[in-house]
Amino acid sequence: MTEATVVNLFFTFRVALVGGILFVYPRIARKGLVFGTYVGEAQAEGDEARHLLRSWNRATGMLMLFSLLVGWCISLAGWPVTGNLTGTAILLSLALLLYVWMYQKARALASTDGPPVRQASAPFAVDETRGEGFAKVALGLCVLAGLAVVCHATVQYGTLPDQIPTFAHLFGLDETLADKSIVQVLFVPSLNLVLSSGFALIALLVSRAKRSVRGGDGGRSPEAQDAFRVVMSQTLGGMALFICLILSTLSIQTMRVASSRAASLNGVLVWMCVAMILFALACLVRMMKGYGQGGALLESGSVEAPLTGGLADNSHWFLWGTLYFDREDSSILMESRFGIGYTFNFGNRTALLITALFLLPLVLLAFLVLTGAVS
Amino acid sequence: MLTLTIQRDDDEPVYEQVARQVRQFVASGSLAPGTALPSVRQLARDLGVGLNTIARAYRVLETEGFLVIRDRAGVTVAAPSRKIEKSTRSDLLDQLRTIVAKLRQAGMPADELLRVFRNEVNALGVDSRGGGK
Repeated sequence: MTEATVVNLFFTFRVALVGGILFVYPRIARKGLVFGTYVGEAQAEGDEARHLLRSWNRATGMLMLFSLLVGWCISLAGWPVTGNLTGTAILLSLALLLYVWMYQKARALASTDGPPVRQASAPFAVDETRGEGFAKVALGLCVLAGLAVVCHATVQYGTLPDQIPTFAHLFGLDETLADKSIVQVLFVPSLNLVLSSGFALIALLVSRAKRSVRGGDGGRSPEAQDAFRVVMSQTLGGMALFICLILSTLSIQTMRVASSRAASLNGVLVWMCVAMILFALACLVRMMKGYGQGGALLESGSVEAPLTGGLADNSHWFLWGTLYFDREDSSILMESRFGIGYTFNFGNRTALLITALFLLPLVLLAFLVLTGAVS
Repeated sequence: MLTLTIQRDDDEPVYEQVARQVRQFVASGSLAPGTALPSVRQLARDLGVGLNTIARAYRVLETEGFLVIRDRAGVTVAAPSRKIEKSTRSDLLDQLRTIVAKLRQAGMPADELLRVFRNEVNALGVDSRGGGK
């Protein structure tokens, strides 16, 4: 099998995956929400909402075909990697534009209805916080392993030669060497500590996330959301452990190769990355098929009761219904209105702090690579 | 599962809405004595209000004898007092008289007042001998 064939197969799989997710997302939203907008439970079942969904399906199908055609044509012209990237970029950017268009249509739909937006309901029972245990264990392991790897790199620093490998071939590039420096040696261990602990922390926050319940539904929607919180928290906790395992192995193996105790990067790292991607995909499919966003598929029978809390309040959502902002709301995480998962409450100081801590390593990575401090 | 609902743009303060509903849950027997209640943080998060709002509601309910707040055990429903203190009885009766007078002044006939009062007592599950559910 040629390299071009592999790239094309990978590209086709990616388009099918992204397109499949785009098809599924509107179907797993909490009832009452249409393309990131709360339009009311009755309106969400109406002809106009159905028409929007049909338009979305048709447009998504055409987007997939168009991006595949462009990608394959460029690939046939002799640039498979460029075709892969161009086709994917076209799919993602046009899908974003399509979503924005659908969001505007849904907003118009919402203004014709008058949903009760200032009401909030909460299950009045002690929260069992199921799933919290796994997240706590993951957080403890990630912090301990992260600190241990940082200590290991610090101890090894003095024994390393002046030139250390960068393992560029992990990204399909030729192997290169870089000058030894504290930043170069401690970069991966620090990234490991921050990223894996960050993921585990978010897993813990998810296990305690706010539940946007339906008032007077006999407690079915809180139960559905509790179940969703557990599976989402487990997924994020598992991802944190995978990240910790991969980056810890990479850091330790770098030291071993640099000090000539190993010949090259262990191929098991690539398999760990494959396993992590498969784990993430399996969890995504499990959540979409069995739970729906916020447990939407589990609350059948109670969906006539209106959504409450910030989820039903259009005035607190910005950037096309994707981000939540409410200073009066003490919750850190809020259910997403479109797609699967949670978003931060950007009106909450703690949420802002966590977001900044999470973005910091990415900004730092870009800065260090651009300035040549890390290669 | 009991559900607590608030209206954020209501004239009644949110802490009082919470306190009122908890009083009804306790008085009607929906929450038995000793039942653990959600923490301030959890309830504030689910309702989307500040921590102080829920803390204030719980403090009011503690002062009124509906809840017991302990640092480690959390918040639990208080057992009803066996005997009402004279001062408490006097204060509450004063409040009752005020409410009855207001209702009467608002135009409610005496027979309807009595019926409403009887319905409210029945809703608490209190029998004629003064026992609970």
